[in-house]
Order: sequence, then structure tokens, then C-alpha cells
Amino acid sequence: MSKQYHRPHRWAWWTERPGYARFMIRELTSVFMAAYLVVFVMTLARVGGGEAAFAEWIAALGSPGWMAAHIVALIASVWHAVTFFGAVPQAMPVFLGENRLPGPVAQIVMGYGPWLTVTAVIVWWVIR
Amino acid sequence: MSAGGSGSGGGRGGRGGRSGRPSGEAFWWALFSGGGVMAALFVPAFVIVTGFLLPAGDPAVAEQRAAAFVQAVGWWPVKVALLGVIVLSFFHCMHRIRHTLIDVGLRRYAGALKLPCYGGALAASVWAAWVLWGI
Repeated sequence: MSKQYHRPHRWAWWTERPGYARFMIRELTSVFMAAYLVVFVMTLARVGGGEAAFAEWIAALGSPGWMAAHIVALIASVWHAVTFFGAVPQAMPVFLGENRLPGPVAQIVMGYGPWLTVTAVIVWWVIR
Repeated sequence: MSAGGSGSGGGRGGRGGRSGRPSGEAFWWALFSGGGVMAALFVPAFVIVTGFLLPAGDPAVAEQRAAAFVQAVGWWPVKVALLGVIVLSFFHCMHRIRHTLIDVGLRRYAGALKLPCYGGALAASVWAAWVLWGI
């Protein structure tokens, strides 16, 4: 690994400033998303296991504990998406000739718009 | 996607060490950024579907939704797309978890953490591929 000098810091450095804490909260969303993805693949595995196995698994997901877990997963994944697409103007500046595409436009066109479209299509497919 | 600003210095760059020798870090970063987009686009919708829409209170509604879900995930283009989303998202999450662990003081184990983190993502990806193959 790097031989560069790294100034020592407390492991809880992220409590020192609100901005650091927001960064750490954003990083932690990945823990919840990874955990959710494991549950998602388990759900897909039950589909492969046949109709009865899938129905039983879905019924189990209706329990209050699983509901609470999914609320946490939803908050984490939405926060990941909101902050991710919010950073689009900084991460991928788009220039139209000399002019830089305004931040909010870039966020909507390259982030929030596609995100809400994908979400709407998936939700519509299941509830239609 | 800027995930820096953590005081981690040059540790998050595409190259390792002052020699400028590629460390493979760039490869993990490519998986990381692609996975960030995929996770942001799809994971909230997946949570809404499997966490709230499928376990609907009314059994008739639940049955109808389950059928729509099974039909969708059984279609091979959806399977391929799902595999892409799942694999990239796993690598994204494990890359971020690894760098968060480095940032809270495990810098000395940055190399050793690759095995559990990327190995875990790889194992989860193989599992997902196997599961999707079996649908």
C-alpha cells in the first residue's frame, strides 16, 4: 500500500464536523444496500424453488420485522440515489458549446428523471 | 461520483504508492462507479416491490403481483439486466465498505481487506448468477 505520509486521526474523525458525519452516513447506506441485495437474491432463489416456496417466502416478508428492515433499506437506497444524482453536475459536467449545463437541469436529465422513470415502470409492472 | 473528502489523502486514487505503479485500484473504481449508477437507479424500486408490493395484505392482490413478478424475472433479458445490476451493485457496496473501513483506521489492512470485500462481492455475484440461471 501507499508509503505516503498520512496524518494520524481518531477513528471517529467523522463526528468532528456535520459534513464529515453526512459523508459517513452516505457511506453506511452501502451496508444496508448490500444486505438488502442479499435478501433480494434470496427472493429470486425462492422463485426458482417453485410457487409454494415463493408464496411462503413472500408471506414471511409481510411480518413487522421484515417490514421494518425494508423501511430502513428503502431510506438507505433512496438516500444513496438522491445524493448520487445530486452530485451529477460535479461528477459529470456537461458543456453545450461554451456553456455549462446548469446543475439542476443536469441532475434532472441525467439523474432524477431516469431514476423516477425506472422506478415507475418497475412499480407499474407489478401493480398493473 | 466524488466519494472523497474524508481526509484519506491519496489513498483513493487510481494508482497506488508514490511510484505511480498501477495497483488495480482503477479496475475496482470502474466497477464502483458503474455500480453506483445501477444501485441508485434500481435498488429503491426493488425494495418497494419485494418489501411492500409483493407482501400485500389482500391474498388475491398478492397472488396477482407475485405472478407479475415471476413472469418478469423469468424473461431472459430481465435476468441478464438483473444480473448486471446485482453484480455491479455488490461491487459498489463492497468497495465503499472497504474504503470506509480504511477511513476509520484500518489503512494498514487496506490490501488484506480486498479479499473479504471483493471476494465477498464475487461470491455473491456467482450466487446471483446461479440463482437467476435456475429460474
